[in-house]
Amino acid sequence: MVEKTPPKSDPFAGLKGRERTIIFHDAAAIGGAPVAYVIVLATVIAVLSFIPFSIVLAGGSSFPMAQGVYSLNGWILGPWAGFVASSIGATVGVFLAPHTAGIPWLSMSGAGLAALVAATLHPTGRQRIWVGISALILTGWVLFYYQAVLLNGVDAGVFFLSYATHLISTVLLLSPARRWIGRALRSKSLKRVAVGLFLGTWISASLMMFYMSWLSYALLTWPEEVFYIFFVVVPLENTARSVIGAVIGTGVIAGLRSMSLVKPPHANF
Amino acid sequence: MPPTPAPLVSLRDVSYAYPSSTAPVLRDLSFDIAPGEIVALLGPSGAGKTTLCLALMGIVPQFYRGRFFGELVVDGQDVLTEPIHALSRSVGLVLQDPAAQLVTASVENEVAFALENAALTASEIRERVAAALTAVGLEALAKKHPHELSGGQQQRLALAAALAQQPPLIVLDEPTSQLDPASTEEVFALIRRLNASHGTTFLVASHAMEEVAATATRALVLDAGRLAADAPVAEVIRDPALFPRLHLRRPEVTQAYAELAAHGLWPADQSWPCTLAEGMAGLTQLPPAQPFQPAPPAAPDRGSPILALRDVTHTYPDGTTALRKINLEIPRGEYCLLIGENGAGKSTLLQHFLNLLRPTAGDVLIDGVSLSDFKVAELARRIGYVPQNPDQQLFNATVEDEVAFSLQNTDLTPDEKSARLEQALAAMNLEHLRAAHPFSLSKGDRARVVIAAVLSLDPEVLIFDEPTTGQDAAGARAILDLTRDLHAKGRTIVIVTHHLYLMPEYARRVMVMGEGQLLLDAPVREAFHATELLARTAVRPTQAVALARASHPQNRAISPAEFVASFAREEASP
Repeated sequence: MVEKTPPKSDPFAGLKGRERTIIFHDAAAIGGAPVAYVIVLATVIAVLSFIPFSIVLAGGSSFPMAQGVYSLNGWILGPWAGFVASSIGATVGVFLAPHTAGIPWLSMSGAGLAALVAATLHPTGRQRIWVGISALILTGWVLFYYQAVLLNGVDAGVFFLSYATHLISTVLLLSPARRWIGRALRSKSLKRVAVGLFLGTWISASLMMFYMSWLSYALLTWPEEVFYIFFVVVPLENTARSVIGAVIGTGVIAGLRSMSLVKPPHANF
Repeated sequence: MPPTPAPLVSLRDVSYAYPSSTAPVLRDLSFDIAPGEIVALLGPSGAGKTTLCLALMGIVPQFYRGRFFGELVVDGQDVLTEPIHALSRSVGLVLQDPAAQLVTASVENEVAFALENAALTASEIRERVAAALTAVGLEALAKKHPHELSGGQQQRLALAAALAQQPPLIVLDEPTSQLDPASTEEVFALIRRLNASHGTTFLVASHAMEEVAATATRALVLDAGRLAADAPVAEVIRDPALFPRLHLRRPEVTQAYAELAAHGLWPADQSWPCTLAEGMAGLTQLPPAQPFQPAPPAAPDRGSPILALRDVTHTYPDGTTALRKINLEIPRGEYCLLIGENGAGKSTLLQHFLNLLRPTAGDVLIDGVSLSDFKVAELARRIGYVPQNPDQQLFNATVEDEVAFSLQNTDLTPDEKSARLEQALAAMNLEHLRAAHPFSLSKGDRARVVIAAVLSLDPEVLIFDEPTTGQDAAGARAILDLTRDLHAKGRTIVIVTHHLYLMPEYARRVMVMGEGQLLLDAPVREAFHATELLARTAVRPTQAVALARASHPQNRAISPAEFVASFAREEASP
């Protein structure tokens, strides 16, 4: 005979009222994420824009600590609300903290792009956005290579070695790894979440930097000697961004999971 | 017969669970609130009071989601089908943590914010802002940034913002938890005034039982999400079983008369007074009181003072002088109470003890050494500080990590660190919550986490800034009992609180601050009865002190038990 375990008593059994469907009626939302969240996270980005976080001299100015957190908005808010929060935060940061702004319009659009890339690191793959971003990045590689190597004569080996970090990130974006990272962010284990955040920030921050480098080069160009500096600078800076994203992101996600606040429908944590 | 007005609030079989809850936090609630009522919402911590307050504005469940059962209608609107912004025209809400709802850059803008969103005319907005700020006594601070205000002032500002909207229902969740006694009285007087003049309906969740008894007409008592009582407030307070069972605190006057009745000094068939006025009137039915003036406790004699201030003045960059030539000595092993009105300079003084502020003039000494010679980290091992708002000190992902964090930079061995961690968790009864995220806990529990983190360093001096704010009677008592234990072990304790009624059993010495000056430094009994001096500050004598002074000129009782003893001794004498 099979022994039956007694069913656990349902704490909701016997309630007198009928269960209601809950809808968030306030229209103040972007992609389902309350505007209040978008404002708060845009403010965080703006505040972090004040903090220079350059570990070595790079593109003429230090990069803001906010660059490690742009991606987090894509995971917490979803793609479009994340895009808006990161872009607005970076825009405010450009005006209030010009010492970390770089080329303003690139900083603003790059911040939004980082959130969008992050949002595609999702168990479902988010195919439409992913296809658009992949097309943009691959176009960037072709045009950047054409201008730097074919037109300006930069050695191809130097070019690819300088941007090896971005090349790896491009491959990871195109591979199924993005779905694995998306699943890691949903893991109950915070260690796995931290790994997902590190890798996710690595990819999204790196592709943001590639986008900004490509368009900066198109505008300014620089000699081959400058590319040599990038051999070390690019991976070091991207590691710094990824650590920032993992440390801050793990704390934020652990906190959000513990609190009973509404979770945006396209969030991934 | 005139028709009964439709209820302003109507609950039918309302139950609710947060997404993370394993069981409903509100369960089968059914009641109405009629227009013009002042209803007190009572219950121990975790009973569901804040959840119910949020539900009346639709924030629960619309924002928090979870599972909702039953019907909740406010001013004719179903809170599940109306947008929150529409409900906000009918309900003004003041949260327990006022800083959480302050969003603008000046006090007057804060009050105007909701009015601007409601598209009122500029002249109407100006008029309402001025009236609301005057009502809460903040008119002189209209241009200040809300975050420059003290906790009590922020609470008044949040209240002003709700009042300015003039909604038919105002829900106040612990609206006076950080206010000094005079401001608390003023807020409840304001509630009575608005109720009388505008017919505004109030639902007030509060532990300030003296004021609740004098203001509310009806009380709803929640216990683990269920409605444990719904009756006139006096009837609820006099219920002999309900309050003790739920660990709620009766007003001091009721405590005193209940005890008098137990001693046969108050007629058994006569109800206990619930307000001070009733208590004063009842004195005529009591036998004459006896003088009651025990000798003050001897000052601890443990060498030189552990903390001392010498002619300390502090002026903030905006020109505000918060401390004026303060001279003060705290002996090792003392248990001090620091009191004074909101903005009197108490927090500024405490920050000097922690090296977070430096005196503009004068010197602060610890064991005779100037604090300017210490680093903040060194000082943290000698002086533990529990801030007014515990959230300012929480940043780890679990309770255990939070408590263990302060031990990281010590020279203790791993075993010693582990032992300290376990002791601190056990002392604050947090062992079962060690894996929880600090922000998933109630405010009372979050305060206990911060206290545990401070205790783990075993500092010589412990400074508590409003440690009982937001705690129910049992929680407050547990924290104060802990301070007494620490004091018994030789620790020096400094407590800032407005809850004077809690302190007679604990404090030995009281320092009264006002307008940046030390107005009085005396043993607790002398200070509690320095009524003329206290009248110059916003500190009011407790009901026990008021009753004692009215009963006999030499009656220096400071608690209900002592007040009763001043009669009981005569009864016992031959």
